[in-house]
Amino acid sequence: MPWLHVPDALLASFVRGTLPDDEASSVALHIDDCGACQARATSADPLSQAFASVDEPALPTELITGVLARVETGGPRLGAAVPAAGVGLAAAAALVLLLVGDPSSLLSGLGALIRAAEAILRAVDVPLALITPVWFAAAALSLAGAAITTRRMEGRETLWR
Amino acid sequence: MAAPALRLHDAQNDEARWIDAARDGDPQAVAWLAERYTHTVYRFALRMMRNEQDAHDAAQETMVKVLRNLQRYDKRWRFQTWVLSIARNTCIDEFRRRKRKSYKEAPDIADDSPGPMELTSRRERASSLHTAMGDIPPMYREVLVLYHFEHLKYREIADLLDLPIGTVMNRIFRARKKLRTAYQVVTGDAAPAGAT
Ligand SMILES: [Zn+2]
Repeated sequence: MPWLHVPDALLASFVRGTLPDDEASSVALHIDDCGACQARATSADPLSQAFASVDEPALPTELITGVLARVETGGPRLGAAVPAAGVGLAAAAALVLLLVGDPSSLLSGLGALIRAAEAILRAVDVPLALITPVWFAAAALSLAGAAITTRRMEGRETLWR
Repeated sequence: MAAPALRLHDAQNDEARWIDAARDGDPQAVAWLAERYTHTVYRFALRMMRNEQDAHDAAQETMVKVLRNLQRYDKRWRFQTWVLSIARNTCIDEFRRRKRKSYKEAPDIADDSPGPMELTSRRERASSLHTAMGDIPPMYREVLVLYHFEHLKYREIADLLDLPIGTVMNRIFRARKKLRTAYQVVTGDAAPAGAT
C-alpha cells in the first residue's frame, strides 16, 4: 500500500463502508495493528462512540462458583477403563466373527454402528479421551473387514481360474 | 531484572503459564481461568441471547466446556478468541434447542425504551442502542458485539467465524448500516451522535 497511515479521505470511506472489498481489507488489516489509526477510525465512527456509552452488565454472583462446581465433579472419569472398553469392543466383535459365516458384512455393519456411537458421543461433548479409543475400535474393525473381504475376493479369483 | 521488551509480554506469558497449569489439572489455575473468562462469556451471551437466564445457562455451559477441554486449545489462537468461539457455538446450540426462530424472539432486557424526546442522557442512548441491537438479525449483531464490545481485531473475527476478512468487513459494514436504521426507528429521529 502507498501510505504509512490511512489517509483521512480513505479512512472516512472505510468508516462509511463505501470502499471496495480489497481496499477495505487492507485498511482493516492496518487498523488491526496500528493503535493510532484505530483511534482515528473510532472517533470518526459515531456508532463506536455510542457503543462506548454502554455499561458492562453485572456478572451473576454464583456463576463462577457454579462453573467450578461442575468442572470439579466432572463428566465421566473413565481413566484406564476407556482404552479397555475399546479393546473389549474389538474383542467382542472378533468373537462374533468366529460364530458367523459372513464376517466382512458384519464387520462393516459394526464399524458403522460404532461410528454412529462416536457421532453421538461428540454431539453430547464427551471428552476426547473417550472418543479416541472408540474411533480406534471402529477403524480396526473396518480394516479387519476390508482385509477379510480382500482375501475372499482373492479366493474367488482363484476359483475362477 | 527483566528487559523492557520481555516485560511487555509478561501478561501473555502469565496467561500461558496459567493455561498450561490448568491443562495439567491444577485447580488453582482452573479457578484463575474461570475468574478471568466467565465475565467475558456471560457478557457475549447476554448480548446475543438478550435474556439473563439464557445468558447465564449458555455462559455456564461454555465455561464448563472450555475448562474440560483445555487439551483441545490450539495456542496459535488468542485464548479469548478460542473461548468466544465456544461461546458462540453454545449460544447457537442453545438457541436451536429452544427452537426460537431468532435471538430476537427472546424476551428483551430493555423493553421500556424511552420516546425520542427524552433521549438525551448517556444512559438513554445506551438503552436505545441496546434496543436497536435487538432489532437487527443475529448474524449482524454478532460481528458488532465482537468488534465493538469484545474489541476483537478484524482478523480475529475472521478466524472465529471462519470467513475471509473481506466477507467479515462486508458484514460489519452492513451491520452498521442496519443498526443505524434500527437506531433511527427506536429514537424516532437522528442516528447516534449524528451518524449518517
Ligand atoms: Zn496507522
